[in-house]
Amino acid sequence: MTIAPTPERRARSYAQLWRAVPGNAVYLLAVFVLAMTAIGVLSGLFWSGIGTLVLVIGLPLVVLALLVARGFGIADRFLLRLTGLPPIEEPVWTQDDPTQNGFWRTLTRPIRNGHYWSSLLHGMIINPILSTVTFALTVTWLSVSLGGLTFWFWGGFLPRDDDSQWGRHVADFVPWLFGSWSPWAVEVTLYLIAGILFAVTMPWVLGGLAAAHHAIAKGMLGPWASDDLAARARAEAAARSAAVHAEDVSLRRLEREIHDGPQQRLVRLQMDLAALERRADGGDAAAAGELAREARLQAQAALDELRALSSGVAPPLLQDRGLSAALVALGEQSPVPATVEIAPGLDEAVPADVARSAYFIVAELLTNAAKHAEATGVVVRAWTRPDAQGGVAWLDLWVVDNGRGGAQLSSGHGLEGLRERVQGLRGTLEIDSPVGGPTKAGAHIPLRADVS
Amino acid sequence: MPASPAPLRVVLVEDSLLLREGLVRLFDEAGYVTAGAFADADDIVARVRDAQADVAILDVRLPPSFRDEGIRAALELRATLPDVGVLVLSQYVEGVYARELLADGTGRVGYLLKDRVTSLEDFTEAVRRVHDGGTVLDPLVVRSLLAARPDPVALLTPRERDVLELMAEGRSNGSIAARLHIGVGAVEKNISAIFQKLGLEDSPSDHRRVLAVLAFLQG
Repeated sequence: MTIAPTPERRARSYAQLWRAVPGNAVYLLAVFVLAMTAIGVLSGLFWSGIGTLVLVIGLPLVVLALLVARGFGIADRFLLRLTGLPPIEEPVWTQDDPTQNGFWRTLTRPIRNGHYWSSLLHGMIINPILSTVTFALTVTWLSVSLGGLTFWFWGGFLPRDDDSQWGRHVADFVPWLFGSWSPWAVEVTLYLIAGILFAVTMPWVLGGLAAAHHAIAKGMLGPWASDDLAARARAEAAARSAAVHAEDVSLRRLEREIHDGPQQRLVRLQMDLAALERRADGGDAAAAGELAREARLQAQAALDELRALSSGVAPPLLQDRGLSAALVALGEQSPVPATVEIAPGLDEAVPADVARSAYFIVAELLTNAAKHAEATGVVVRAWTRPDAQGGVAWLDLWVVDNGRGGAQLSSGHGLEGLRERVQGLRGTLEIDSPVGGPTKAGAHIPLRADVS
Repeated sequence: MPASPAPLRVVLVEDSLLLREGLVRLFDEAGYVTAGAFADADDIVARVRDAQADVAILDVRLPPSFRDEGIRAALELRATLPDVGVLVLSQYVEGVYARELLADGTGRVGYLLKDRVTSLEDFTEAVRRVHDGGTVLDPLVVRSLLAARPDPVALLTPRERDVLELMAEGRSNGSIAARLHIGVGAVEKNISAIFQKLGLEDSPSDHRRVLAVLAFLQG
């Protein structure tokens, strides 16, 4: 049901239109000055840059033109705030990897960014043309309304001779209307009518002109939809590099642990077995038996170490039974009594790589609750969250303890590594841990490529 | 070891050829008859029945999916052939699997790390206990169960804790006494102290007692 505007409402919204008139008028006058300055400066820089492009000096000039165009764009967006229209946001000026900082890369960065070119096109061509038109209309409307409404006052000061009294010709032309009027009265009346007409329509005209500026500036000077895609691509790249980094770190650690642990044991085992062989050949049964016992101890230790390592890489229960069973088992092994809540259908919803990380995230958070928080109870909740379309899109992992709080993401507690792990999955980690507790840790992990 | 009139008949399910051969050799040394050695647990009930086996020894990860086929086969065997002992051997131990194997409360099951079979003495002892209707649990399972229950277990003396661990592995009083180099009387005294501290009802049957302890440890 639509509500028909009452006359009262209409009057109020018309008054509101008028409130924007001063701002719009100032903008429309000022932007003309800006546009005329811009066309001069930008054309000078850009075309002399193009002209000398074959010489090396041309390139910096073009880049300078682009940078200055950006400045004019910013000025225009700033002026547009006078109109009361929604502010236009800053576009993304650095679209490629900002860590790549070679001289030529830095110099030519604006050339490779469409926003700079768009600003240049706007400042050098579109805005001057548009401003010329809107400036003319603005001046017309302002002068006719102000002048027309006040002609009765200032008209009297004009020198009056027969030729200038055009009211007489009008009266002669439509005698049935102005037959008995004096030329002066006709002029005042017509001026007044024109002034009223222009004044009444002024809010719409100026508002429309400002809106035209705003719309064009929004398209050419504001962020584009493709910026979001680019931003997402950058977030993907960051996630990937975090994942690669985390994987690199853990693989290095694994290599070191294999090297320091089982590998050493097996080397020692071989030495023991060689010695055993020599003793056995020599017929020294007692010494051989002693060496065999030692060898078995080494083999046992190597097995223990390998088992610890492989369950650190992929917990067996997770492989065998899936995430739900593994999380329940984690809760049971937790030194702090844990309640584990699992969403129905969790195992089907969570892909294997995410499940593995989810397991270690919960394991680490539980360890923190036991080690640092001095908690006596902890709740683990693994839940899936649908997106707007109703499909399963997010995995939410919560570990909430009743400990003393004060956990920080900045350093220590292993929380930084944890965050890297979550980031590698394009997810976010939130820690809410006021001093005195409780600590709420939540990891939110997207389950599909199209959510983030 | 008193020689039994008929040697124990064992069926082995282990997908790794290396370990299968090693275990068969070990069974020979222990004086068992290997009535069948298979790489997967297909038709396990029929195979064990046809082989007239006394004990089935299974790996956990088996074809086709290499997940928990061995556990499922073990449970199937327990349900259909209650007279056959089942011993599960694995590279790792999980409390969850231990609980599932013990769930029916009838004993005649064991769950050990493969490492334990390197000691012929320990291994034959475990097989004998499973065959006799008892329960065998790997010390590692027991320890992880103990670690998860810090409260009342913390009240125990170190000696009582040792006894509790060995009891949870499924050992008899005599075996515990031998392990700890103490008298059977001392073991009994420790056990009644443990049961009092944990608030459990003592039972004359070794197997019942183990189940009570495990039920407590699993919360």
